[in-house]
Amino acid sequence: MVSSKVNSAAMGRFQLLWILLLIFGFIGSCDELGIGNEKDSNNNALFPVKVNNQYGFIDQTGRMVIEPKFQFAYAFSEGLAAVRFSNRWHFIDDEGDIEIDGMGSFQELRSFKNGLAPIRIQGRWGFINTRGEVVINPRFRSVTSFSEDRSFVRSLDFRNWFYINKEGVELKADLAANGMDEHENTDFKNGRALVKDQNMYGYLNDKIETVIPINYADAKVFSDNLAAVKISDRWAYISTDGSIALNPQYIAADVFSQGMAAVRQASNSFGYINTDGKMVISEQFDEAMTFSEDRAVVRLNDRYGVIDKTGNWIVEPTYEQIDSYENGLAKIYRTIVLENQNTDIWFGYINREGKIVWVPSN
Amino acid sequence: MTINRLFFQLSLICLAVLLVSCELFETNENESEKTQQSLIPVLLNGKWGFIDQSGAMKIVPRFDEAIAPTANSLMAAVRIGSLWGFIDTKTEEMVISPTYPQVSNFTEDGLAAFRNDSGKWGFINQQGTVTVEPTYDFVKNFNDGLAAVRVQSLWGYIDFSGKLAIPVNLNTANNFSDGLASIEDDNGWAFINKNGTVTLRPSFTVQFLGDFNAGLAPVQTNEGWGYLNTEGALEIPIQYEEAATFSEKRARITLDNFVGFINTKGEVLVQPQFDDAYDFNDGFAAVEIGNSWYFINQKQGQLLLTQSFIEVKSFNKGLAMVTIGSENDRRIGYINQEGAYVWFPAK
Repeated sequence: MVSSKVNSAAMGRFQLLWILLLIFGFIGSCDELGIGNEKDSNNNALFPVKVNNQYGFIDQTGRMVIEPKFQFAYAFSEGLAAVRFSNRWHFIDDEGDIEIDGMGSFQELRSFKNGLAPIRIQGRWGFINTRGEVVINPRFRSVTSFSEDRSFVRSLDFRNWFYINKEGVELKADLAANGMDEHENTDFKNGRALVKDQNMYGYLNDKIETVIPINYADAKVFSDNLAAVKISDRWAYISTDGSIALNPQYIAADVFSQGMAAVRQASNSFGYINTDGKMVISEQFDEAMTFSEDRAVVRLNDRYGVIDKTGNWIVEPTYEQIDSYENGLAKIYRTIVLENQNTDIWFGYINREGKIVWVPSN
Repeated sequence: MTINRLFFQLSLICLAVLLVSCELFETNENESEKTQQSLIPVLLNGKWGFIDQSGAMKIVPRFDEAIAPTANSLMAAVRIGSLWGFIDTKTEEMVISPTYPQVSNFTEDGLAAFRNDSGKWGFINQQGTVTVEPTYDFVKNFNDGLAAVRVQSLWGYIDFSGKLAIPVNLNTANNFSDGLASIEDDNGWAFINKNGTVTLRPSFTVQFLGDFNAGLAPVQTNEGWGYLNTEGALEIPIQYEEAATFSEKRARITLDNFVGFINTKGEVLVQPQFDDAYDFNDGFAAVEIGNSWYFINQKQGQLLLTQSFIEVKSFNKGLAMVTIGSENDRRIGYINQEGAYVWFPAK
């Protein structure tokens, strides 16, 4: 970014020097102020790898960018990655510098989402912002990462679950008690979240009002403005207003993503439908994950591979496990049997073309 | 673009950058101004000494205990062996040599309570002159010009000269504030003025009345705690398990065994969430989470991210004394209001 700016400007050496000095001066002061943290998360995305039991970070091409020195590392999110070293948690930037010093107070944490990261202090969860300020005090027994500015939390006395906004304020619900707990998917998507009462499901809007009645024996979160719901013994898809979009006809149905959803309709295998309900990739997989970055991980027998949106194999089903693509790479896993017969799981990465950019390591 | 024009534009950018970065310096300056007033006691190799704001040792550690001055006083209580004296943290001189088994800090009135060898309490001024002879079984500090004193089991109040201003016939006597003090006589709890006249007696049965601050006093009934206004009416209804006197427009309250803070309108500003807490002082309140102490700010009650402390004292002049380690290995340091150490914990 810096170099292109300088190159495009036609100016003498003298002026160039001045500009450079200024830019560096500015970057220097910004660091202290905690601004300038907005990073392009896609182009220079980094990925954790484990080498000799220590975590470092590679770029999309597999080049080591931050040398392995951490006891543990989470993936980057919103320009920051949580890492553990000397038994303490911190957040680092993409140059490996500590941006948020946990001061040894974080017992546990999760990645940033919607500008906030969950942190646990003394057994209680709260949230920090990207400047490292505690914006919601640790006063919940469990929290979910913020989705559409809502987090589902469990009260300090363990008795209640409810949603809070980004100010930490409890949002009063029209239902006396939300039957959901921290083990279920309570994320907001398309302005809707699941709600449960007496083992039946419905949906809330962002004001925590039940806008789709609690009528379904099973239900999944909205995505692409559609949600899979179980009506008697078949799955259907409904719209955000609660109307039926695709009639009950599926034996199994997963959430939509990128306009595609894995379903089982007429066989024991999974295929993919589009939002019109047309089976665009025929039923053929033993397991089928949601699409991400135009790729889906699917299983045949006990091996996983990757397909594109036309159903063509990008990676033949040869892996023990593959995670969904994120920022252009997908994590692959390999089980290693050690000399003492114990097993260890190593991980690496493949790119969008299915080429290995990091061989599973430990 | 000519060089001159370029320079002009660069200067503008420079200026903008400077202005932005200046904000940083400004806060630092304010802070040091606030804290530069006096020396602070530190523990080093088992003895207490005093450092200045830059962390430079000003009084070599030689005391067995030292307590930072409170309020606007510059006098720090120090102990050698079992006896207490005072040093002036401005002149760094020992002003009152260690002679007393027990002392309080100096208050704004320039008096400190002391206990003599026979267990009686009196007052000294900052020159060490005894202004109130040690004749009382217990005393509280001066507030509004009067100090509560106890003779056997009954309380009264004295003025600066040691003269009894309100006779010793009260069962309980709390500190004066805004010209009123809560007391308990044979008729129950009430507020008196400085003449000792009862100005306010609640129309309902009261188990305890606390001090007024910001026009509100905590009151306890059989139902719990609320707040009384100066007219004697319940301004904030009885609804808390516990309630403390207001400090910096916030009051500690307890609900479902957790401590939070309310404002003077009775609105909950910090949800009850702490296992314990101190009053706000200097814009921060110490709070206990689990077995660890942290601080929250006054504005929004947000936690200051620090390491966890086993013990803390309230912020005073921009600094807070904090203790890390364990009961048998205590290390004492100071943090500033950014949560950074100005004196790294030592022992």
